[in-house]
Amino acid sequence: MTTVQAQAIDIRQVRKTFRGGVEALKGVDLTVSPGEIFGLLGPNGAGKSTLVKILLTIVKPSHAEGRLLDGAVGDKRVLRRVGYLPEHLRFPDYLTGRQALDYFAALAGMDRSARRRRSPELLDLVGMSEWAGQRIAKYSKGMRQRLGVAQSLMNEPDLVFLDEPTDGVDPVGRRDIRRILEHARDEGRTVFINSHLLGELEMVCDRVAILVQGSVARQGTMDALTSGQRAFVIRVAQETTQEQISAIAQAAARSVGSIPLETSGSEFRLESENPAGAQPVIDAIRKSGATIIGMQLRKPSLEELFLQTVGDTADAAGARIGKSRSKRGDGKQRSAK
Amino acid sequence: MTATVALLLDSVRLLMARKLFVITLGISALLVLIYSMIGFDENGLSLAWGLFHIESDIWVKDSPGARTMLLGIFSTFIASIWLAWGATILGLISTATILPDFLSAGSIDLVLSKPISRVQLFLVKYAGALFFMIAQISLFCVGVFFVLGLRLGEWNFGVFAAIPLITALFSFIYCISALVAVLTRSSIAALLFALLFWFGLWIVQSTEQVLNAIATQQQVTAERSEARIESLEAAIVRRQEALEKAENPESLVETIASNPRRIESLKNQIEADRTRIVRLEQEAASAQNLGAALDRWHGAINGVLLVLPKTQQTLQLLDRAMDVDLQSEIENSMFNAQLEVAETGEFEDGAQTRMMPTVEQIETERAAAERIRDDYQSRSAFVTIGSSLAFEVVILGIACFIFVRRDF
Repeated sequence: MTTVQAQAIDIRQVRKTFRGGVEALKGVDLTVSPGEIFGLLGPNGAGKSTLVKILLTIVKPSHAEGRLLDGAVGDKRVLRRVGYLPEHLRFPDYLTGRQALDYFAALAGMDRSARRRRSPELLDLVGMSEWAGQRIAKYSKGMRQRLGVAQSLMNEPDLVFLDEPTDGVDPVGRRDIRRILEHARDEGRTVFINSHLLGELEMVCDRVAILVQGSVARQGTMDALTSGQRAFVIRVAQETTQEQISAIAQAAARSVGSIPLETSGSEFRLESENPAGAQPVIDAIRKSGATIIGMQLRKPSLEELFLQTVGDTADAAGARIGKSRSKRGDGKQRSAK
Repeated sequence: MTATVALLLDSVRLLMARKLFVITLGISALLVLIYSMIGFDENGLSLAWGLFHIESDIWVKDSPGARTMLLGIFSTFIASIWLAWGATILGLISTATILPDFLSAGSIDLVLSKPISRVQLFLVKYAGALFFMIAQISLFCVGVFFVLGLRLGEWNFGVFAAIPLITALFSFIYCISALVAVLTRSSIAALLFALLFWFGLWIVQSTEQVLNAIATQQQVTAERSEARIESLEAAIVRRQEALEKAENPESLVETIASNPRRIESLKNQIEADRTRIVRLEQEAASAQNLGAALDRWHGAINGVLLVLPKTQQTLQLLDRAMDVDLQSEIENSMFNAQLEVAETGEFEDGAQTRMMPTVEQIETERAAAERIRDDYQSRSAFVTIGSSLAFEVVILGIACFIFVRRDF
């Protein structure tokens, strides 16, 4: 008998229309598994923060189904097991770092002894032990962000939401935060990150979702999202003549059949992730006497994937608008007739 | 409970970090120090711990005059001016930023993501702001309590009534600040509207007091005129009987008493009385008409005031709690001095009086002042505080409703 582990987040049809008719979310379906680092991407105004705020009861949804950990969306009780680092976090300036950690952990319902035990651990983890007794007013932006990360982990949450966690943090700090997130995952916590820094997300996320215009355009593991878009790139020496390259391309195209093969300078790009498919190209190069200087399986970066998705969605939206305008135009023509 | 304690502790830390809190506390301490300078001995009043001395028969050690003076200075000047105005304004300025800061982006998000209900969050945060006044007044009252105890030998626990009363007074105004803060998230708007509301309340309450004073004075004037008319009519009846007997004597004694000069005098007195009655009737009618007209306005403004917080009446409850009435003492002294001048026609320095009110007018004013004082003192503390708190509950209810429903 197998037991199915509940999802950390399992939401369906989350919609939000703000007063004034702005439709921020148009029916978001999303699942996040326990113990993974999940990245939510999207252009400005896509609805990322609104979605997170709905899950944290900061914004009330127009409609939402599903669960967060073992509670329904909107159930305050479940937030006891949730951590959160908001974007542009403002700590009360009059508190010291230690007092701030204690205050927000107490608001999360954590008892005093647990707070006293946890606070130094986390201050140490984020490298803020020496500043713990200083007022936050004296902290730099990066220090506040480190403290924010510590705050989000104070109540030993099962699920942590981090909105732009590396915002304002220097490269060393970013590396440290990445390590903290990986450490959190290793402890079995689920980490949900909103970020514009795609390179950062690519380094740590197990799965991502791309939110565009209030809907999830894509979601899955990086491998799953880039499957079908991988290509073998074979580079030959610069001395190879144009005649040799043309001959190689013609010979290889006959061998690879329907697999697209592109030539660019001294590179041959075969749209396949199967190594066997690349062999005829290698054979053709060798036969022509050219020298192979490199070969790699290239996959699109998260940024390329993101831009492609945002572009596709914009094109689709443009097409819908065009279609709709065209329909209205037809209607006008019909009514004119 | 952990969250509630954390929120309250945070409010304490916030206020302790405010310079205004320390400044207000410093002013309070200075006032207590000045207050402690007033003392009494067998010969009169001593100031600056005996550095200066004022000879007096009234303000001597263990006298009722000394008690009234020291308690009266606290209730009429220190509590009414410093606590009810100075400290309250500083309190409003100091606390006006609490809710807007709490509701600002980046701050409220984190708090709302915690497992606490929004109603609890709002109410505890509001209560935390009241800590400013509670802490200030409590420390101040402790100081005053010891000064009174050491100076008068009277440990008057009524002083501590200032803590709930002045805090309540502050909260009646601060609830408007809280509502505006929730609506606008602007501390300047919150402060401005709170001060405007307070000013509006002051106008309504002052109007009520003025209308009440004039209407009562007219009522007393009419009543006293009617009483005077009755007494004059009785005098006329007596004089007419005397005149009749003078004109038709039946005995030797009556014959001796009935000379033409007396008959003429009686006739003149009766005529003068009748003239006075006509004037008094006109005065009474005029006072009654004006009083009735003002009564209608007073009733209307009382109706408005019924649903509004009653800050001035709340403050007057402090006198009742402390069992002191310096205002009536001052008024009585003033009327007595005026009466003395009106009766002798001269001031103490021998100067002649001109344009001074008559004894009758002074007596009327005294009776009106007493009636007005009785009127306010007879008003129920339960109604005063209860209706004011009801207003606060409604305003807080609206603010809380908006806060609970709002997306941040």
